[in-house]
Amino acid sequence: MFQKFKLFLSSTRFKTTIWYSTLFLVLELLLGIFIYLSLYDNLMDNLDIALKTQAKGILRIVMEKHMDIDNFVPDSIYANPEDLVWDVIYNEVAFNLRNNYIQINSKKKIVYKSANLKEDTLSFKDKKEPMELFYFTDTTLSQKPIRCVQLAENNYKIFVAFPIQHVAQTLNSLAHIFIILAPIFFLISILGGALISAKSLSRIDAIIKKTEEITALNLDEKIIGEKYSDEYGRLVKKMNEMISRIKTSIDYMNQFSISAAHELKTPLTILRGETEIALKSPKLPEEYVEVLKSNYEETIRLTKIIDNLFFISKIDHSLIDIKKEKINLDDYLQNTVNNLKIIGVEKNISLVADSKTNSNVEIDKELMTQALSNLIDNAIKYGEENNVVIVKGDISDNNRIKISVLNKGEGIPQESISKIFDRFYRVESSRNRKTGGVGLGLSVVKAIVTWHNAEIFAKSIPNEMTEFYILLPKAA
Amino acid sequence: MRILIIEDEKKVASFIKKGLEEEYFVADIAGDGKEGLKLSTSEEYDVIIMDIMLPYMDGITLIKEIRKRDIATPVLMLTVNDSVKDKVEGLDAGADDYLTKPFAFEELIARLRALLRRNENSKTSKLTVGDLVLDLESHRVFRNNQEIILTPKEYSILEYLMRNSKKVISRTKLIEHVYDYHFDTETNIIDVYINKVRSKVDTNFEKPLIHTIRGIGYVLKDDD
Repeated sequence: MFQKFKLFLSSTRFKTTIWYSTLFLVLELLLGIFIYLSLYDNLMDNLDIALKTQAKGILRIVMEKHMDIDNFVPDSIYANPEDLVWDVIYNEVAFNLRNNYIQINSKKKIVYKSANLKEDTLSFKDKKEPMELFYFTDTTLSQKPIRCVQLAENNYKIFVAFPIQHVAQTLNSLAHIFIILAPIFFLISILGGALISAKSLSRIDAIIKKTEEITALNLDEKIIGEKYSDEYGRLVKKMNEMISRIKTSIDYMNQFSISAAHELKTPLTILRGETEIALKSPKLPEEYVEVLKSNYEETIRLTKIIDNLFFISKIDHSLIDIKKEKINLDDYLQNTVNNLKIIGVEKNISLVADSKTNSNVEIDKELMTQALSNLIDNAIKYGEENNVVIVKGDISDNNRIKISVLNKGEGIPQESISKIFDRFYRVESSRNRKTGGVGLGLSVVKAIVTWHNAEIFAKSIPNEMTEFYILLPKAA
Repeated sequence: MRILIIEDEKKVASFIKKGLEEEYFVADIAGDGKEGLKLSTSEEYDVIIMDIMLPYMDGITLIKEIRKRDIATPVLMLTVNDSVKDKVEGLDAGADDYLTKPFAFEELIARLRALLRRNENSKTSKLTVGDLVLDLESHRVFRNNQEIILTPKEYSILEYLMRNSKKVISRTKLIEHVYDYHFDTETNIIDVYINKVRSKVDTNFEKPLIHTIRGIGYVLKDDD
């Protein structure tokens, strides 16, 4: 249970959800702060403009009435100066819907105070500009400072003020809304994120499940989802490609080890059988010697098989150092034939070189000689006694170098000819007591020829002649 | 008992033959499928040991050919492949048993004995007729709990007669099953051997078991 939970915590699904939700929350907070600040600015600006406008309006009306409050003379309309001022600002106050604080001074004397100022008095000493905005803090009207505009002109001082507490309240309620909404949004974003990531990651789960199922035994199975062109589709496609590459390698290795085991089993059968029978009952010394001789031969054969296997495996994996050099074909074939003539002696087969191409080839001499000697070996092994094996150099139709090894013998059946270069394949009729070679000779030849970017073919007319020929690119 | 070995690997064939002879069998070798078909259809064998990979005619085809000719001789195939597919293919073609190379010779012999037992009532490694007992594993013969010492050839003759007890066996048939095919069937050496076997098995005992059927051959039976 705990393990499962730990696994969940470390899952991409969980992590991405958390990341996205956190990011979402941070963005929401930033947005809230931005809105709060800009709104605060805006409200304050508006407040200032409103205060200023109102102060100007009051001053204008005060001036228009030509009031001489200092030398007030009662008349039919105004019995005392207060009446006059009250009337003057009446218009403004009536429309003072925001309930601003208003105070009018004339020559240091307060001539009017709006009722909402109660006992308080607005004052501002340092006067630099005719109209100035400031915070009035020395007051009992409000805990928060009061925003105040002072307009001083013609001995009048008009004060219009508004407690910013109201602005703060508006902003506070906005902040509250944000604070309440944040966790709700966070929850929604977690749920939504989880849902979305679950949906998109369910394909990953499918890939994981299938990958777990695939082993060396069912490499031909594919991960489903290649048809999508998104990242997952591409991932699946690449994984399938990788699986098929692994399959090719494993198939090759399997084939190689099956074939190797196959080839090794015959000498092992002989070794085991002969030894078992020799040990079964007492024998004459000569019989023991015979068994030992035979066993010795078989161990040599095993060594040869293993050497060939190693060679093929090495050349297949490009582990052999190859030194190509440009040489004259005619000389090369003549030399090779001279060196190998001895193989034909036992069957009285003469080995002849026939090459007048006057061309150069670029080959690794050692490897190519090994390939040719395998071909010549076969040609003699399967050739008729008292006959001839010809090693021919020629220029082929498409201007390539053609090296052929020809013999006269029973030949290769048509149905086998395409398979003879397969590893470990031996033409059935060739698997007889007289030859009994290792079924790797032609595989070695093929590996060498392929390495040279050349091709090898076989052509046979049963009971007449058999030709193996190599087509090599011509060297400049 | 006479065995045919069809195996192209000369050394394998020859050690099998040698080992079989040490076990009182006689064996012929065919080196390829065609020769195997020729021998198995022209000669009489008790078991055929056959490699699957053979020149000229592979083992599977060979078994089918043999069975087509109504030859029921048990066939034990030797393969290097131990894949189920190969075994099934061989057994379906008509083989009776298989062994994968490399094999233990002891196992080959045990399987041969098992194949030879198939047509008999007895399911043990002993042949019994009356008070005569032949142990196929140790190659020892007892009558009335008294051991009888036989030469390999005498043993082979007695074994064949006991396996076919109550049946009249012609001289030719007897020769076919206890000699390889190089033997000249015209000689009367078999009579000499029969007399030797008879003197060892029947003399000194109350009841004779080996009987001569004049002009036809021999029969081994307990008259009760």
